[in-house]
Amino acid sequence: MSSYTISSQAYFKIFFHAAKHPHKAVNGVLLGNLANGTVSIDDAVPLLHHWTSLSPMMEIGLDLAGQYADSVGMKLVGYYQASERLDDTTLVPVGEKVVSRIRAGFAQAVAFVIDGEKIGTDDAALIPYISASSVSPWRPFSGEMPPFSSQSSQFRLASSDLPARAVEFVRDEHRHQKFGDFDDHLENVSIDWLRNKECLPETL
Amino acid sequence: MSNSAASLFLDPQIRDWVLFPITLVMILVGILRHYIVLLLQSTPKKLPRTAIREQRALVRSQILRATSSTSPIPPSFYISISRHLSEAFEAGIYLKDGPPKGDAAPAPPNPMDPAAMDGMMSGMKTQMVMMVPQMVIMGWINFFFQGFVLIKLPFPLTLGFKSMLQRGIETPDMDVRWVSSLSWYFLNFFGLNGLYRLLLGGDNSADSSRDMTASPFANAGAAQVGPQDYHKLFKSERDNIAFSEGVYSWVGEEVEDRVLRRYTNIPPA
Amino acid sequence: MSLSSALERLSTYRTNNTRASQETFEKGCQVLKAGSTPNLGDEGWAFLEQLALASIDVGRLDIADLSLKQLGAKFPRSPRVDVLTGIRMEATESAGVVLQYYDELMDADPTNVAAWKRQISVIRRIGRYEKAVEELSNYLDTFYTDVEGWLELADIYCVCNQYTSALQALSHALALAPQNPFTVLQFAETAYTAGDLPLALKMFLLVVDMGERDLGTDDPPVGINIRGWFGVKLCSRQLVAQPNSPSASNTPISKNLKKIDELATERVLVAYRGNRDTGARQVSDWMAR
Repeated sequence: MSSYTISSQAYFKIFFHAAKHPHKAVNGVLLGNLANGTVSIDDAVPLLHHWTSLSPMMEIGLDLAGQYADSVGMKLVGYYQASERLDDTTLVPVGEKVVSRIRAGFAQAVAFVIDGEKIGTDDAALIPYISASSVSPWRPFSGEMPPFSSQSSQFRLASSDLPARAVEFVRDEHRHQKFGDFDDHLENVSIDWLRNKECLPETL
Repeated sequence: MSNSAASLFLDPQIRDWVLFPITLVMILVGILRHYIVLLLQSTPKKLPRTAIREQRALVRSQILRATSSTSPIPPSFYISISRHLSEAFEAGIYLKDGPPKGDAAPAPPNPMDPAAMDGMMSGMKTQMVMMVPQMVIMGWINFFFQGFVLIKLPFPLTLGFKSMLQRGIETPDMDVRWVSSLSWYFLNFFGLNGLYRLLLGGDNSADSSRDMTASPFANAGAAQVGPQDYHKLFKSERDNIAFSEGVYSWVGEEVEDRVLRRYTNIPPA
Repeated sequence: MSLSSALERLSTYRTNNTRASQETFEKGCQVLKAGSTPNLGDEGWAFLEQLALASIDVGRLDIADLSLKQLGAKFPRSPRVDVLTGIRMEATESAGVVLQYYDELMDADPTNVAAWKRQISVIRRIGRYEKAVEELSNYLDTFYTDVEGWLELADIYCVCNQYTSALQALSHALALAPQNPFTVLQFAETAYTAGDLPLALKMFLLVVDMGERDLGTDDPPVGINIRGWFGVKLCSRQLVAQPNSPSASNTPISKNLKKIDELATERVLVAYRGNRDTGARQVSDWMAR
């Protein structure tokens, strides 16, 4: 099985998306590439925070994100979601559908569910879901080493201080308030949902 | 008939001891009435869930019917709701005691139903509180302040009023404008409403104009409204539902052409 | 921010039922510290309730308890305070304890609507969807006119993939609020998720029909109408490719389908006029597919 590394840009965006809508379910897709047996997840594109069980806008967003990925030399490699309840860490059926679709174009597709209890601490607070084959169900990853626990586990962050820095960005600089997803874009097309450049710090 | 010079001079003590006291007493009694009515009004009894459901069931079909000719609901869904309601009304599902069992026709609503009785009792209590003080005050005035003239009305009246306004003072010649205390009572009775509205707010129970309009009709109306026969009402509502199904039309039916016409030049319908 | 503008903002939040809990909490604490709560009169109690809810949301249960105590002292047997107490309990107690508390409230007064709704939301939260649906259906059977309730029922059905039932619930919501385009939009998106493309197409068109009635034909779509036109395009494109798509509701397909498809493309692209860097290229590529 390949290993996965989440870049700072991707992590911050996931974090900001969840932070902007603390009491709602949010979801989005992950962009990246496979290189030397490691999937590097370089970016994230946020999709919905409203009516997350309904599919039309999700489908359009998925298509558009896929096109954007092509235009910057990346692929759709995964899906992420935050649940409405802190203690709910199941991958919702919609999420399964989306990540299965992504898998059709990228065999190492992965889904992450945000751990509502741990987010905001030094923990990465992301629970990976993988599926052994295209017909097996998606299950939380259970390997020898817990994900994100060290640089030698299968799932890594680009650097271990990302969670702490993310908390600072939200708490002190309120960077999440400028963050916009596809739902926001559908109300106001001037919102740059594909890149969200404005809310990212200059030095990642 | 003297309508000129000979004006009467009234003892100022009449003013001090009759005019003001009558007015003062009426104001105080009016305020007292208002508060007594408030105290007497027991909190409206809470209806149980089944009774609320029964009362509001008709509203469901009214809401559906209100927009049936330009309904946003697609046909298959509209028909399904409409049929479901119709059957439910026929079977009496919304009745608070449940659908009628077997062949027994549901009992006509019991006029001695405790809830309805309470309603009628509180209505009667309010009426009593209104009427009793009026009669007491009238009696008091008749007893104590009889036989003399109290004030002179600023406006002239015809002779016909003499017998009413000068009761107890048998003078054939006196100007009708000189009236007795009882008429001052009546003047106050009608005039103080404005004052009550100022003191007690618009919705007060001291308002006598409320009594006048209410009493002849309230009793008659209340008896009719009484405990409703919902089973009959539900059954007759079915006709309305069927009618609405007939006029039903979905706004979505011609929406494509409507939208196209707005932006392009398709031929009009 | 000055005290008076903080109070104004809080009052606006109350009127619009906004759930901006972090902001509400911060401004509320500002008001508390300034000690001016007693001067607010009747508004002061609504403010305390609002602060309690915001505090529970951000996890500052100490402030919530403070507000709750004051409210309880002032309004001893109020059902509204009882329900607020229940919400506070939801933050720390187990679901079983909270459900029992709401049960007691409803035994005392079976028509306590707020307690019933909180109870239903707790049942949903612990994942007992069938029970939540049952209770909510009972509730709506008695209190039919609660639009929010019907929308919640539709949402629960969608989570359980029961789209036909969701659409039925949304039909009731439509009957109750026929002029609300958001309900029509929710219906359209649910119909699409259920696979009934002709129905979804018509409902998306209804959204833009309602929303653009008073618009000049040259004005770009704004707000909900952008979403509507995207939906129209999504449906019409698929229907043009597969004209025999089944419709569970037997909704017919217009003979002007191609024209609708072209119009939708045009309208969406018009919306991007003047916004070239925020995904316009992806959208026009998508349209051209």
